[in-house]
Order: sequence, then structure tokens, then C-alpha cells
Amino acid sequence: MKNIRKPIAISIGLILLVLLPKAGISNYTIHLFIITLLNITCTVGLWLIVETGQLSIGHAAFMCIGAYASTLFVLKLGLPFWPSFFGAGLVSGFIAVCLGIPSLRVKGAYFAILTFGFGEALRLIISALVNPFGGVNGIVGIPNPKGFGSVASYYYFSLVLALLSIYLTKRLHSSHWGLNFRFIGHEDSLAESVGIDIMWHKVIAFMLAAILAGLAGSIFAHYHHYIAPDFFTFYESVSFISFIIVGGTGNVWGPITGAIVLTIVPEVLELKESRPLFYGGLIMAVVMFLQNGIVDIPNLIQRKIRWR
Amino acid sequence: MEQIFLDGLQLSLFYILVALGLAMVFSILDIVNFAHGEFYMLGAFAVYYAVQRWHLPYVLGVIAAFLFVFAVGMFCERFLFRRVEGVGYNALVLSIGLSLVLSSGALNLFGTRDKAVDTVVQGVLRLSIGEGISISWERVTIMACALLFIGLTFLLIHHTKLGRAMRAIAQNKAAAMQLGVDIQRDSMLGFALGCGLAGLAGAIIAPAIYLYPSMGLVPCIKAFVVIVLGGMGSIHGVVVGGFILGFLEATTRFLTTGVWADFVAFLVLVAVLIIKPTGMMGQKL
Amino acid sequence: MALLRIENLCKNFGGLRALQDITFSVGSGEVLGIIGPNGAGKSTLFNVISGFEKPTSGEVFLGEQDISGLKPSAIARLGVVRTWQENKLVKDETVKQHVVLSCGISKGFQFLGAVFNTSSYGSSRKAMEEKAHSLLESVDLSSLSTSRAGELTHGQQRLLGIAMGLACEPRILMLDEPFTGMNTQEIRFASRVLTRIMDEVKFTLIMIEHNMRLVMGFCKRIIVLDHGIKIAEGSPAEVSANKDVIQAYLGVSKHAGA
Repeated sequence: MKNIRKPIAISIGLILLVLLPKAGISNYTIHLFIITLLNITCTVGLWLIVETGQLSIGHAAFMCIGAYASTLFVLKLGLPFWPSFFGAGLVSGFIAVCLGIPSLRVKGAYFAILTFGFGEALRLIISALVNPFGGVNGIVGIPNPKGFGSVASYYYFSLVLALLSIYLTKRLHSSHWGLNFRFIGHEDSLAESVGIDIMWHKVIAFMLAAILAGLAGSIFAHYHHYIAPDFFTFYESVSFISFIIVGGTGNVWGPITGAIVLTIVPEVLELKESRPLFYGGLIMAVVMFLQNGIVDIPNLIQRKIRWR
Repeated sequence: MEQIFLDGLQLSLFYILVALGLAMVFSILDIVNFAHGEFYMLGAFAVYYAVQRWHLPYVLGVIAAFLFVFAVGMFCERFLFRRVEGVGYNALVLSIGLSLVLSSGALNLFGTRDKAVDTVVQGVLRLSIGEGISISWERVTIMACALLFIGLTFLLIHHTKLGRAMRAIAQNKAAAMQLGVDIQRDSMLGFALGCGLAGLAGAIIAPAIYLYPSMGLVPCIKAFVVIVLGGMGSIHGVVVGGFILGFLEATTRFLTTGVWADFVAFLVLVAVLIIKPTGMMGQKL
Repeated sequence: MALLRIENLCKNFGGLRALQDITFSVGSGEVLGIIGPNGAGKSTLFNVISGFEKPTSGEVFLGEQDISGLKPSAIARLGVVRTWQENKLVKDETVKQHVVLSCGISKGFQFLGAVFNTSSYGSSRKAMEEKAHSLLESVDLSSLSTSRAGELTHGQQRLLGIAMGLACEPRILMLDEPFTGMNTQEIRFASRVLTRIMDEVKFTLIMIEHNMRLVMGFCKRIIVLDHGIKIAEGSPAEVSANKDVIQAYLGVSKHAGA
């Protein structure tokens, strides 16, 4: 008998989320939700590729690619918003495939180093080229798409993208794709010996992660009206990783929880420059003490209680 | 042409010094330390404080910087990295977290404005090579210091007890233990030394550049490129990799602008990892 | 025409010649044993045939097709499936998940089906689960299907490996030391299981084993490797009487230092 509580809880949650902007909360709070939702979108995608055992610490680069692609499509090529939006995702995905095919052949630290280098190299190039990227100062005056103007409209946009991303990632994770990804991540020669094409799977995961990040980047660019290479640094890439590590990797709720908690808590604590300190410290604490992430805390408490 | 040679030489020596510590930490402890650039940054800032705030002579400042970064390195190994030995990505992720903590901590402590250390050596050296080129004494000093520290490191590795112990641990931990090597102590010293070398690199270049908390990021990537080029387990490979990268960059810098030189480093990284992942002299992946 | 043909296969690792000029063939439905002292190159041979190592020279033919140099996953999908000597199970995944994983070999990519959970995807998934269940039953592991793979005994792990191999519906199943590390009871059970499966499903079997009695019992033909060279080939009786074979095994202690 299917558990009826879960769908009800989800429905209530969705209704609350939809009604949120009407509840008379401040624009700042809605802004926080928007950023959180965009972070969720990027993080669940990254989670897919991390499941295959590839630690990508340059993920912000794909958000950057999406942001700049969308902006340039609209401002320089004069395209309408929607083709630019989807185009941003496609460009991001395409670059991911180009990078992934040579890079995903290496694992572990080598791949981390590669993605680290890629993120920095991209940032350096964008900073250096004033035309067309606006150089270090970035691009200002990114217009609202038609029909979007209020903070609430961007909120719904981000909400829809986040929900679709969660649905996509959760579906993949529960399907044979997720099973394949996990085995590739743990024992790839075993997976290969039963016919699983490792490169294919990794490239697809990498591409999907990049597409989601690219779409999120596009929304960010138009919402924020201003983008610069300094918005997409190593620190941002590590933030996504920290969401996954702190939240846990077991199922899709780990990255989601991590993204929500780690986006909101620093705001509540009003950390500005100390944000990387907070994320870095949390990563270190989790790696040293809490192997499976915050999601695991209830388990650990249970175990402690049982041992009494 | 001579310009490229001098630039290449300076870059090479500098990169070798920066990467040497990273290679040591990897070969002795199997740790890929993403916070390596932050130790470089700490060395530079230590010199800044020693020279600009406490008015110590520069040489003392460099020594102080080394000792400071060495101590921080020891602390990190003993209380942080030792706790996460072995399992998969743990040390790597820990080092990423540490990188953020250190650079952000530096940002909080030192503020956002760039710092500068007064030029230590003034004047220009004129060489009568070719048509006569001039190179500042500052750059000569940097190169000389880098060469000195690299030399001292190799001396230590090959001719001291500690060096032999570290090499033994790097080759075969179990065998080293049987030979009576204190693995924990010597690994910790190896780690601290690796960090200290990065700090020295920061210290010697400090007078020539502007200091800011995230200054370690790009040198860190360059260091990774060097050790991937040279082969990740190999200390001697660092020299090979350092020269290759240094001269490649100098040539690119001569032909175009600075940014593309940095990009060349990344291209080299990708190329090496695709073509010969073990690098010029390294062990298996 | 032989199903699998190995022709002049050589594999060098740096200066080490792991396989030198190996030539043999396997007919459809045959049960072939590969034996030899430690370090003879048996696992290397498996690795090369299954694509995990590239041959330095020589070819591997599956029917008419030269499969040397193909990716391991491609070779597996062509029907040449190997099991592992080392423990390669994923400790935190269940026994059933391991077999379901292997059942996916015949499926296409089914991306959209997975994402939208279409009814055709759902039913093919169900079919895979049922197939996994019956395979686990045939190796008598169905009671453990929801246990974590890390909790299995050594013998059970081997059986799981065999079940995974069978799930791939192989034309040729290559078992790498399936009985090593099992106790007598487990060996007896596993051999019964293997015999029964071989009776039910006619596939070709190649087996690396150290246990002479088992190899002689299962295999109609045996190949003996020593130091990367094929030193003998024939029926169990011929091979056990072969002077070179006896020398290779006895001579191991003499060459221990080499």
C-alpha cells in the first residue's frame, strides 16, 4: 500500500512555496529564496556527476557560461529571451561535453585538478577580454525578459526550474541510471565487465549537470542585471561541493538540504566576507567527523542512543 | 630572445620552488593539497607583517615566514589531515575546505586592500650578453633565492637522515616502518616542509608583487601543472616540469599578453592528462 | 568455426613479458580450463580477452570479429563476460542491486523512459527485477537479496559474481578463480550450482582455477600457462601426465626467487 503521507506532504509544501510571495514577506527574503533555488538547481546536477566518482570543483564555470551566453545572445545578437535561455543551457552542455570527453577519462585528484584549472582558466579569459565579455568589470544592464520584472516573477521562474531539476535528478537516481552511476563511482571495472559504458554515462551526467547550471546562470544574469567573472570563482564552485558534502550524497534530499541550509544560515548569521570561512570550516568538520553529511545526523544519534 | 631566456629562467625557478613542496606532500603522504597556494600566500603575508609592521630586516622576515608557515603546516598535518587518512577523497576535500578557511581567514585578518612590501633590492644589473640587456637586481635576487632553496631542499632529501626517511616513506611505507622510520613524525615534518617551501616562494616574491588573500590560487594551479607535467610522484620531475612550464609561459608571454600565458598552463594540463597522464617521470595514476 | 580464437597474443608490461605468443581456440559449448603456477599470466590473459588490457600484439577473434582493442563494456555486450578474482563488489549496495545492474546489459539507453517513468520503462524494469530474482534463486542467494554485499561470506560473494555474469546472458562466461578461498562445503555447493546451470543454459565456459580436482572435473580441455607461455594443451588426463606441466608446478619452489 503506497504511503499516502508523502504525496500529501509534498503537495502542501508545493502550495506553500507557490503562495510564498503573496505572504507579504520582504523582497530581500524572496531574493534569498531565489538564490537558494538557483543553488539547488546547480547542486542537484553536480550531485549526478559526483555520484559517478568524479569530483568536479569547477562547476561554477558552467553557471558562468550560461550567464554570459544568455546575456550575449540577448544583448549582442538581439535574440529574444527564451531562445537565449535554452541556448545558454545548450552552450553550457556543449562545452561540458567538449571538456568531458578528454577529461572524464581521468579520475580522482587528476580530474579535480583539471576542473579546478578549467574554472580558473575560464575566469581569466573572461576577465581579460573586454570585448565581448566586458572584462573584469563584467556586463551591466542585462534586461528583464518580457513579462518578468518583479522579484516574485523571478521567484516563480527559479522555483519551476528547481522543481524540474529535482524531478529530473530524482528520477534518474531511482532508475537504472542512478544504479549505474553509483557502481561506476565505486567499482568502475565491475560496471564495465557487465557491459556498462563508463565514458558515456559520465559524459551524460557531466553534460546534464552543466545544462542545469547553465540555465540557472541565465536566470541569474537576467535577475541580477549584472554579471562579472568574480561571481563565478573557485569559491563558488566549492560552495556547491560543500552543499553536497554537508547535506549528504545518499539521495537527492542531501544536496537539497545542504543547499538550503548553507545558503540561508550564512545570511541569517550575516556573514559576508566570512562566508568561505564558514563553508570551508563546515567541509572540514564534516570530512573529519561526519562522514555522511548532515543527513546522517539522525542516524548517528540513533546509534548513540542504542549503544547506551 | 634573451628576454625569453631570462623570463623563462625566472618563471621556471619560481615554479619549481612552489611545486616542490606540493610534490613532496603528495609523494610522502599521498595528499593532493589544494590549500598549497594558501601556504604560499601566508608566507608572503608573513613577510609583509615582519617587514612593514614590525620593521624587521627582510632576511629575518623570510626566515620568520618560513618558520611560521612550517608551524602552520605541522599543525594542519597533525590535527587535520591525520584524522582523515586513507579513504578516497577525504584528504583532498579536506584540503579544499582548508583552502577556503585560510584564504577567507586571511581576508578577514588582513582586509581587502592589496598590500605591498617595500622593494628590498634596488637597482638594475646590466649584462653584456648579445646587445646588452638589463635585469633588475630584484629579479636576480628572486632567482638566486629560489635556486638556493631548491638546492637546499635537494641536499636535505638526498643527504640527511630526515630526507632518507622521507624518501623511504614515499617509496614504501611498510618497508620504511620496518626499517625503524618514525612514519608519523617524519610524514608530519615532510608535510610541514612542503608547506614551508610554498611559504618561502611567497616570501621571496613578496617585494615584487601586490599581496592579496586569494593570491595563492593561480600559483597553486601552476604548481599542479608542474607536477602533472613532471609526474606526480616524482621530485625530480618537478624540475623537468618547472622548466617546461616556465619557458612555455615565457614564450607565450613574449608573443601575446599575460592572460594567455596562464591559459597555456591550463592547456598544457589538459594535454598532459590526455596524452601521458603519468607525466614525464611519474608513477602510475 | 571456433567461437573464440586467440592468435599469437602477446602482452608486455614495460620490460615484463606477461604473455608470449598465446594461441588457442574455444568451440561453442566447450568448457575450457586454464591453469598454471602463480604469475603464469592467467589473469592477464583474461584481462586482455575481456578488454581490460590492450594486447601488445596478436588478435582475439569472437567468431569473425576481431575484438582485441575494443572497450571492456563493448566486449561484454558482445557476449564475452568475465568475473573477478578480487572482491569487486560494492559493499553498500544490496545483492539484488548487483544482479539488476548486470541485467541492464541488453537494454538500450532508455533515458526518456527513465525520466518520465513510462509504463514501458516500468515493465522492463520489473522484468529485470524478476530475472535478477530467479538468477539469485539459481545460485541460492535469494534469501540474501536485500542484504548488503559487504555482509556476504567469501563463497557467497563468488556466487554473486557468477550470478552477475549469468545475468549478462553471455555466449562465453569467463570465471576467474571462482572457487578460490571457499571452504569445502561452499565448493561442493558451488560446483553443484555451476553444473546445474551449465546443464540448463548452454554457454561456453572458460575457467581459471588452482583447484586441480575441480578443473579436471569440470573441464574437458585444459590449457597450461607458465611464465606467459602456453606449455601444454589437452584433456585432463593428457595434461596431468605432461612432463612440462609437472616440471612447471614442481619447479616453482626452485624458481621461487626468480
